Amino acid sequence: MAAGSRQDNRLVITIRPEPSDDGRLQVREAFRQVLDTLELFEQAQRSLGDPHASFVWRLEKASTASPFTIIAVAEPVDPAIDVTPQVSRVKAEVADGVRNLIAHGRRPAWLERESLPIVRELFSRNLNGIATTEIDFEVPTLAPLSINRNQASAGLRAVEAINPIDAVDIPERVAHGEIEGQFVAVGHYRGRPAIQIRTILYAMVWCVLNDALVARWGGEHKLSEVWEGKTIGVSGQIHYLSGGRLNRIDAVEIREISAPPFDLDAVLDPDFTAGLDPVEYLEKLHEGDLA
Amino acid sequence: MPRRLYWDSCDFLGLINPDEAKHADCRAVWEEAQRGDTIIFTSFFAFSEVFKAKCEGIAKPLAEAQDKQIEAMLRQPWIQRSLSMSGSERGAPLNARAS
Repeated sequence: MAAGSRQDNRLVITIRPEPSDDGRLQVREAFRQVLDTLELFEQAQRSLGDPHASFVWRLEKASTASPFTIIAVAEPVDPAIDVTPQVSRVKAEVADGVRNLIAHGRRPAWLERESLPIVRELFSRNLNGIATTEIDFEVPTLAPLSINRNQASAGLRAVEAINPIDAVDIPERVAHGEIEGQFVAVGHYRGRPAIQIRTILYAMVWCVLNDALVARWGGEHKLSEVWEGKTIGVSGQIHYLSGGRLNRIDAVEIREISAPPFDLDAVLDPDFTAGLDPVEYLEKLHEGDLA
Repeated sequence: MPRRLYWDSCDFLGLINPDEAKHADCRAVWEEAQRGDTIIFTSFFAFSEVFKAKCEGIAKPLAEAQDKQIEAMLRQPWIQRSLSMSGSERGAPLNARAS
């Protein structure tokens, strides 16, 4: 191997058992935890995408007792290439990525959505049978990463909160329904009579009116309604662009929406849930125990 | 740009019940929303879990007038209802609603 020290390219993964399990790990769970941990490094390596600095993790040493420890060393595919800089980058990506995922719920750029189940399993095992998963990067600039029960819980919540649907995967489509918004303009959309509404989710949306709607609705309303910004509900064919952005509505019906008068103090009621905690109240409601 | 929060039925129940631990917090958010500083997103499920919770037995049934007031609460302009097959924005993509 050219340049770079062997230690810089080393990685130590330690899996510690729960004290309640008499200090013994389940073999299957321990091995899977190590494999999933290594998968994170391989994903980060793939995302950095430098084929000339490819390397594989080779097993240098493994313990046979609890805690289960493996020492892996990155070996270049091409022995003439020094992969140490690439290995260091991969280690830094994993260290920062996993820490940010746990602390801030941010998915590392190198972690593909399809691989979220791997991370979910990794955190789940840390809540069931494995006390801690420790990764020693063997680099002075990177503190070892230790995933305990609390961090695994936070990581699991972060993984669950990540939307499994990527906007770019959403195809163009048409749906039937109603969109509410403020009536802000009257005009034409590609030569057809239309009105424009301002919505909270989709900003400005053009609504194309059919002939019947133009005849009926057009005669019933005044220009002042535009300036007042009345709230209306427009129903019809809703055209979404790929990615989920709303393009336009082919309207078949328009209705005015006015918020009913409401006084919060008038509805305050300490007996509303009959003294039950809201969660308990809803559980009983779902189980039919309140009816 | 108003901040966007999601409320489930528990939050509305906490708003209605002045003895609930979270009432003060819920009320503070509600007043923020009234001022236009917050938009509260909720599901249509809240309508069935808060508005339609007429029950005999442990809990008393809602009076008709109170029933209407609860519905009025959920129909205030700062409440955005979503994730349903009926009513406003049905058929909209999930990612767009959750933004």
